[in-house]
Amino acid sequence: MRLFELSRNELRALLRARPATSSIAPTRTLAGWDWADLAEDANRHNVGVLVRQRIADAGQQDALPAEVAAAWLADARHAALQHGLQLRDAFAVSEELTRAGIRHAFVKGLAYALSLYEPHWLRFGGDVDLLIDRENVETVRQLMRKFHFAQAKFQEDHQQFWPATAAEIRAVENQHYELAEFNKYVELLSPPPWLLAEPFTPRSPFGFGRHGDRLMFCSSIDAHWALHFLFADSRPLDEVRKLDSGLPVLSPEWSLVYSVFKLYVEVFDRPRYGFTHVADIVALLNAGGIDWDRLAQLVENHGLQAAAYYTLSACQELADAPTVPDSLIERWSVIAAPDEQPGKSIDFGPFVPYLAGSRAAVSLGAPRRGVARSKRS
Amino acid sequence: MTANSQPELDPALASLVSQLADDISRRLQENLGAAEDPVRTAARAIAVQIREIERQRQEFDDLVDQIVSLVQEEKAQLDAEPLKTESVDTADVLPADTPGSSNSGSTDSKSGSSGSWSSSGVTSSSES
Repeated sequence: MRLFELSRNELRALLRARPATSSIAPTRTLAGWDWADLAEDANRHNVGVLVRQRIADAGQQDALPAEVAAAWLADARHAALQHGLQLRDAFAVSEELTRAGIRHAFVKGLAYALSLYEPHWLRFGGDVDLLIDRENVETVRQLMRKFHFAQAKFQEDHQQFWPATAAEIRAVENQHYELAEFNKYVELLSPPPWLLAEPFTPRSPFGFGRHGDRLMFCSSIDAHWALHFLFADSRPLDEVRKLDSGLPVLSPEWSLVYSVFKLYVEVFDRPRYGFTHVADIVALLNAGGIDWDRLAQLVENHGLQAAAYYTLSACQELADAPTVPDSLIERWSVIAAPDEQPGKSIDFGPFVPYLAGSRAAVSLGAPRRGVARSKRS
Repeated sequence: MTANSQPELDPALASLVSQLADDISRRLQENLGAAEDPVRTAARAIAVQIREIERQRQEFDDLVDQIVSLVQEEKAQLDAEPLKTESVDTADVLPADTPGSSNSGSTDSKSGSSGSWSSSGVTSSSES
């Protein structure tokens, strides 16, 4: 059993960023589900900790097989500690950047964790993403050294890091819209007994490991000078807001358009990956406060009509209520003729393939009803 | 002479063999009236193949040297633990709502459930 096979209401309940506030009588047991497969799928999408928490919220954790429950509890504890460690570095770096007069915003994982998820650590990631202006790249590179961060290369599973050579840093920065990743090791003192103890399995996106008999965390910060080359000429930092904690994050509109882009385009070729972006988009829709005119402007200026159509029409079915204006869904459902937006519009078709591993209709969770009004279908 | 080495030919004998080869080749060419000596043609083709094999062997050796060098470099970096390290007391950064921590609240206890499971998920009372 995999996530996309769950009903719409089940997905809505398991992927919600905040706990439900009311209940109805339980009529279906979770005990008969194929939890081993479902847990593996959820972990691959990095929503296992979230799913576990929502089951615990409903008082249904006894329905989980003992092995799954124990592994997810271990993951949840490590996710919480990872979030705490990353938040500590984020505050330190943000204070320093603010002192230096460098405008910046946290994007994706940490920004969403703090603004959308309860508890915050449910939305944890392997690194902290920071957006800066391109003209400040070299200043930020210098400032990061103050906090012991070094630009490093790393193994695919993020378990080992080495300082990158100048040539390697240049190669990364020539091909991407970010500085080569900044990393540092943090030795964990007074560790709780569960840290790196079974049944926890060190793996990406967790950053915990051992150096001899020392318990370590590798803290990573990705400093981007653009969200992606697609947005290289845009100025999302003009629309920054501050959270109660004081950390700057992007506007809801920029956050939504970036997550729509991430879900639809960037990982299109990574089958069975992406429900973490689905949960983010649903959380953004549920949080409200979106200026739809501004969002439409961003979507259409960047040729993301197809991305917005497919992702938002599917994700809003998992939201508490449909919030995307019908007029926008209708407008974005029309496939533009190639000469209308030469070289600009991005349309790869339905986005579900990389979630489900096969081409399917654009709808999340059964029953399917999402494409009835689609001119694309 | 080792088992793998080739026996060396006496220089005088080698010269004689060479002359004989030339002589045989010349006679064959005269007798057959061929424009090209088939033996020499075959020998040249074999020589070309041998040179190609030798070139590929050299490339392979170079590649092995590069791999050995890279592995040694990576190992040296691993042993050196080059990234800077700082220390943190985990108690200072562990969120209060971490499951199983003393202040984790009730989200992991049955009594603390704020919703129930149903065939339609954990839903709000206003939802049909």
